[in-house]
Amino acid sequence: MTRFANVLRGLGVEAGDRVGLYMPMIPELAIAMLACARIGATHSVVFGGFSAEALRDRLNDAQAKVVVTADGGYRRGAIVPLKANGRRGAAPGAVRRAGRGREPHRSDRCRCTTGRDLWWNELMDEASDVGECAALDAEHPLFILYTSGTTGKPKGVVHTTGGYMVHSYITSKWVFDLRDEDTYFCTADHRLGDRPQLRRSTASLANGATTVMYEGAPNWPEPDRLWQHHRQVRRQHLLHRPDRDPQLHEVGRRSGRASTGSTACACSARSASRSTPRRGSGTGARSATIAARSSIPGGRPRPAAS
Amino acid sequence: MSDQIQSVLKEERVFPPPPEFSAAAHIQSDDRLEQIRRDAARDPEAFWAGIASDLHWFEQWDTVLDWNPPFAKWFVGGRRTSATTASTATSPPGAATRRRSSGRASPATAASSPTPTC
Repeated sequence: MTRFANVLRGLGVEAGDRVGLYMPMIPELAIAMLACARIGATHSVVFGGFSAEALRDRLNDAQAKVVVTADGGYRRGAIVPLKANGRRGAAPGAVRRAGRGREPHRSDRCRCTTGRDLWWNELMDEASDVGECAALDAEHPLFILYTSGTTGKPKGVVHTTGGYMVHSYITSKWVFDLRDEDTYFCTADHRLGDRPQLRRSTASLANGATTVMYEGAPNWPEPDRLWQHHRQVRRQHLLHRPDRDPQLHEVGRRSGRASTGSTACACSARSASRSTPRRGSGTGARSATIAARSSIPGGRPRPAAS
Repeated sequence: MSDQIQSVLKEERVFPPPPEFSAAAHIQSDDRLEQIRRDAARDPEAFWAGIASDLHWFEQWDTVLDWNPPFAKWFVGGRRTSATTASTATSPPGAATRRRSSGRASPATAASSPTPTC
């Protein structure tokens, strides 16, 4: 993270500059987000499933100085050519990119422009892993999250350094009963920009917890994929969208795995209750805003307002 | 046949947490939650200042909330970062390492499979 912060500094990114992140669900996404926070650059994550036009609108609105992307990402067995979308999404020369190489696809999936496009691994090799962490004003913009745009032009919502961290820290701690020894896994895509996903790389770490990132859909190739993860990473807190994937509850019940948490609607808690103490609770979170109402794991289950 | 199709969308049951879980939870009961709510409603700025004190700040804030509707500024004068965790920022050197070795799962890499599975 410090190394990439130095990469960004080397590219001329300063505190207050905006950095676009158009990436798959890979560790480099979290590293880039945290690196931005470290130097005071304001990041804006654009969902990898968005079109070139949607990307362009957001990057232009944020006036991003650098875009971090990848040659491609996996989704349900297919490769999403992020770099190719990104090339169409930004005016040539306006934006530099630091891409992450996946060697097998490097030649045919990713065409780079000399002088503008730079490889992540090459930049990282040259960067120092020592650097100052910027002490930022509590009201310094931490990130910009764009609304879906379903009701018109997407609107950028700015979250600040102090307020966002304090609120996400405590709601993660209380709503998920998150602890130092816990592992937090949010199945929703980081890049969709709901706050619970962003907790993955901020609030869960602020609570000392381990965080899990997974590239791809949680119910592919089979619905029980999610529960395979559960077996691999124990003591998990699981946050997902039961409104989107109700079958996951039933699959989870049958396999007797633990889970907790849902977002955006009431959680039935059925998948967790019998096998482990961890049980469901709704965060009542709304996209781009804050957790509105929730129950707590230690108390009486109740539906969440959304 | 239709009675064999189980709906998973409708759920009326309620599953209370086991007592031993509640006893060890950050917030042990709804009563405790209500008490926190009352305290927060009575003095919101003291409530948020108390929580903010859990995190590392390079400089303490002067004013918890500068509320000039519709504009709100929180922790005015405070300086911090979002790139360090509470544990590494507030603990003495080595504490984070100790925590990391407390026996929990390390970040698992499942991406080594030769065929794409995501």
